[in-house]
Amino acid sequence: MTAGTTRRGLLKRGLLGGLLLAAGGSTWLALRPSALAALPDEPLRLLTAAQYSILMAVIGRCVPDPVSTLVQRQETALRIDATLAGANDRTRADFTQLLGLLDNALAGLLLDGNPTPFTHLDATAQEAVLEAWRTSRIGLRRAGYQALRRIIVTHYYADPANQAAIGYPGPPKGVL
Amino acid sequence: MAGSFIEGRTLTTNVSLDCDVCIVGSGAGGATAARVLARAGLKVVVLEAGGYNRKDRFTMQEHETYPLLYQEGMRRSTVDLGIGILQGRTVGGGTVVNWTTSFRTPDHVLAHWRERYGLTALTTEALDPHWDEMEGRLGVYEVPEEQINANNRKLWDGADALGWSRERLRRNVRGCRQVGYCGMGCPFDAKQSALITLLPDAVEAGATVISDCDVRRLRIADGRVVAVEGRFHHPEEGDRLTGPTLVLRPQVCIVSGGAINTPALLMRSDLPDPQGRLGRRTFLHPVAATIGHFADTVAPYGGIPQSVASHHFVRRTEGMGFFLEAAPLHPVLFSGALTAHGPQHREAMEALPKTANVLALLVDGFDDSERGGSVTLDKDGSPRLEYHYTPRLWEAVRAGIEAGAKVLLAAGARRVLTPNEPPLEILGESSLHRLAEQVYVPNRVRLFSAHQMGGCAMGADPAESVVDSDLCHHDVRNLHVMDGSVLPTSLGVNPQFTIYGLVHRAATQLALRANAVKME
Ligand SMILES: Cc1cc2nc3c(=O)[nH]c(=O)nc-3n(C[C@H](O)[C@H](O)[C@H](O)COP(=O)(O)OP(=O)(O)OC[C@H]3O[C@@H](n4cnc5c(N)ncnc54)[C@H](O)[C@@H]3O)c2cc1C
Ligand code: SF4
Repeated sequence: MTAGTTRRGLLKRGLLGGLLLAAGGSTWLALRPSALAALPDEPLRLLTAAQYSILMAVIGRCVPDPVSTLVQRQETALRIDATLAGANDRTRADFTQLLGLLDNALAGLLLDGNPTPFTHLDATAQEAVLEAWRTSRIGLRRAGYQALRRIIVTHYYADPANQAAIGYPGPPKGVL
Repeated sequence: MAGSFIEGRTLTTNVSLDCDVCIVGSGAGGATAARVLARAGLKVVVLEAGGYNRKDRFTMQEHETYPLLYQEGMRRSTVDLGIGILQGRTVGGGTVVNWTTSFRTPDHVLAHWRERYGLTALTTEALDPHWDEMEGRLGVYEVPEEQINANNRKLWDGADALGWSRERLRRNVRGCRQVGYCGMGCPFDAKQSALITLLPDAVEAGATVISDCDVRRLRIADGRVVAVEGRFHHPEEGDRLTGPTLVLRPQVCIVSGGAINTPALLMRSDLPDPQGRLGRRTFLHPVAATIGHFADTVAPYGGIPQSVASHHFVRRTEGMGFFLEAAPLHPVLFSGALTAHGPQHREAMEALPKTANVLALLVDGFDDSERGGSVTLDKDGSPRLEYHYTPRLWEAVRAGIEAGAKVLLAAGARRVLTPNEPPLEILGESSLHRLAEQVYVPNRVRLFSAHQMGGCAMGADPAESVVDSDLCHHDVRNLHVMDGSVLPTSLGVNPQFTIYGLVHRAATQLALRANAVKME
């Protein structure tokens, strides 16, 4: 690679990164609203209904049926909501922006030529989007995928029942 | 007269105090300094951002203990999320959650520091008495072979089969019940963390340890620290600082917030830093973890978490060195570390009871091309860590994964999963060449760090360092930095005893000087 192409590559990435954040951050740029999931009985502490729905869609891909039931996925989303409610402003903003970006029609249109928001896609198409983020040449997208999967799986396996289901014995009984 | 532990969250009014010594941070460095200085008769106050969490809160549940005991609830990472940062935040700091591996600083590292950074006072002979004292206090012993758990035994057997050097580790425990929950705080007070050893010693000698107090800045006037300003918070308020304020006016200020946090505090305090040294050269021993699936049960969550290492590749000439150890695997930590997705992720989770792992810890900072990480401040004053990846680092990541895979295969693994994203599945040595075809950029390989070092480096030359070998700040006369942030490079061994040794030495000298001044 010559110095010239490296420089152009970086510039492009920089611009694209800025664009992505701008698109994710401002909801008015979205062309289509998120498809809303049924809300849990318990009230949400931080996430909006739209953000919750996007999160539920990604949870459905990271711990899909039959690994998890709908109730387990809802509990996972609620635990994530509680964590974010206790987190600092930067973490909250980063995460909610990330959810917005994933479901943002304009960002999808500009980067992938597909304006359909994530929550409107079927499972196979959602997998393709996540896989594209996971292996993207754009660092921001790779990081976005990691942030989503890590928070989801660590909150799913936070539940002792879900730990027991994979054969983890938990703390030895009667030692405390 | 004995001092006390005070839970800052219970305070309702602002605090203003004079003292001889204020220590910010109660981890390996801060607790050692507190013990030495309080025993020398100085009035010591230790301020700690984390809670005063004792064994009754160490519930052996990851989701309860991680938010309590780790920086940012264990979600700390480099800004690009490329390297996860495990770092303690509780009374006792990292010593409460660490895996108890106890190494003195290798001779060749001290020799490099003397030659390259002019740290001529730091010889093994000078440090030995300090290590002897600390190892005695903290109950360091060598793990006998029969105590090696199945997870570590794969490294032990695999290295042996390959003809690689291997060793049993030394640990700081007394009456360890080998339950495997070190990373969540020892529920039996077997681990000789600062929480149950050095800090109680300091309190017995008159020190006051105040928890839940986040130190926001030091006030400097005429080249001296004149005040230390903090704010209390309650864990239920999350990270928000909502409690009363604190002002201490110490004669001497010691910052022991650990790498990343210490340089951030000094930056918030607008310390003179004309050469821009603060926060630079933060080294991480970046870790690439490879896992293997075995036919028999491994139970990588039980038994002594770390008991074996191989330093076979630590000084390799092909590139950056690395050393091999194993990590305890519990479901939350393991789920976040896995690079698999969806059904493949689940399959790897279900294999946890039969999974062993080998960590390759990369020894960063010894080549002049390596800058490690840089700490800067976010808008709200919190630290941001950016790591400068080099081709040399990525080469060592690949080589470290290859070594981990070889060990696991040699120990009888049926299948190996690498930390590449997505993971490479390796069934035999013949497919190791595929490692070279993977993409090596941030977030295409899962990396993490449990060893943060540097950012306020020691050195003889003020143009390229922040403190001298006595851990005194070059410009601000009554300021000392006593924690892992003073290391000029990484180590190639786990860092706690390097910190104990350096700080014990520096604090002993400081005590002599401070008492000499008091006598005048
Ligand atoms: C999971 C894990 C396993 C490890 N295993 C090992 C091992 O087996 N062997 C080994 O040698 N090392 C191990 N380590 C590393 C070792 O514990 C650390 O290197 C060591 O504790 C660092 O000491 P320190 O004094 O630099 O900082 P720390 O021990 O991290 O202490 C710093 C303290 O300062 C507090 N603080 C920071 N900023 C402020 C502020 N502004 N105001 C108030 N308080 C503040 C922090 O909350 C923290 O409690 C491990 C670490 C982890 C996280
Ligand atoms: S392994 Fe030993 S030191 Fe670690 S938590 Fe268990 S009893 Fe404590």
